[in-house]
Amino acid sequence: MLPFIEIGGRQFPMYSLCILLGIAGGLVVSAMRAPKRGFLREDAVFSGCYACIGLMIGGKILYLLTILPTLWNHRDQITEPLELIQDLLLGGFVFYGGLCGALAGILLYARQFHLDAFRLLDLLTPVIPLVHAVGRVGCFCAGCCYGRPVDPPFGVYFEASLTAPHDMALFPVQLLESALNLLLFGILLFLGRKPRKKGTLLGLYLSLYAVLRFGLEFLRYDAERGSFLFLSTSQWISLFLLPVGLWLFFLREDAALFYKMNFEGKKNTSVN
Amino acid sequence: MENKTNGMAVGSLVLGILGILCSFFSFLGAVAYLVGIILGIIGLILGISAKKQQPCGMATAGIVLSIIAIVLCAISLVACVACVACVGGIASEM
Repeated sequence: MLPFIEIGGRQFPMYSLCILLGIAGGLVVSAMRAPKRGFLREDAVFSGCYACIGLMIGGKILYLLTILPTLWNHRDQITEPLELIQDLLLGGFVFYGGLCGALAGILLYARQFHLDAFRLLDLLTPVIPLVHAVGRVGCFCAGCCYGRPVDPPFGVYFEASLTAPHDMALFPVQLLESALNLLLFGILLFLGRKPRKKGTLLGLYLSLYAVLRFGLEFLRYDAERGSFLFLSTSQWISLFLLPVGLWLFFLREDAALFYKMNFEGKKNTSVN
Repeated sequence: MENKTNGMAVGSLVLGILGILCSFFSFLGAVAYLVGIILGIIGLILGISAKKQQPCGMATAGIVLSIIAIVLCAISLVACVACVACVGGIASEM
């Protein structure tokens, strides 16, 4: 599609541009929703920054974990280890790792500045599918995370992609995931208009996305995702996240109490 | 306490500026961008901590510059495909 775009004589990857655009949009939406939920706008933006840092670190760590077996199997072919380490650090992210990192970043922020962690999570949760949706458009432009081969008009040729096969039409599963994420964003935004019990939105998001992702993985065709037994890494994580999401959704008070007893700081100066 | 907060704000400002400078060192390769991202992240955390403890213009400036540094460096580097291509290259050599 369009892996790079030229701005002012310099080439920029569309993937990173889309991610940054999604994050910027997400921060704006969070800042707009914050006052009605008893948070300062700056708390929404700053906790979003912590989430972004967590997203980068978590996405990278899980990516390295998934790619480790491949690297180990081909260790004899590695002639320039320094260059490989550089490439590994700079390219490639796994969404689920980023999600866990982002949630950890928000929890860290809440703990550091004595805010109600679950309410903060519910403030920022609707933004996650928005960032993800825009990011998947970036994947489509880059030609990564592609789907199974299908005939046109449902299949697309990724002729400019660095990774996708050029000689076959592939299902644009990135766009499907983007559309579903936008739908999820709309649902969460709609449900988030009224005050809900703590953890409701996060639980709903985790449950719905785990189901969506589990199904979407069957449409994926890129082999570099990593797999174990008959399921991909993301499907295993979905299987783990679904009960966590349902637990948060149905037993949210228990979850909030569990967090408070185990992780929360002593002082709570949240405006809630 | 005041000195500590000011120290964090100054640190954030300095790291933000250094991070932005790193984004212009393209001749040093990807390492400069990576260093820029790390400096930006540390600067951002310091700036947020300083601003939450004692709001001041220097902390705000540090936060803004750190965010600019992260964006400038990340935009040049973060590619979904780079590493996959590299590993794919290794696999195809077999």
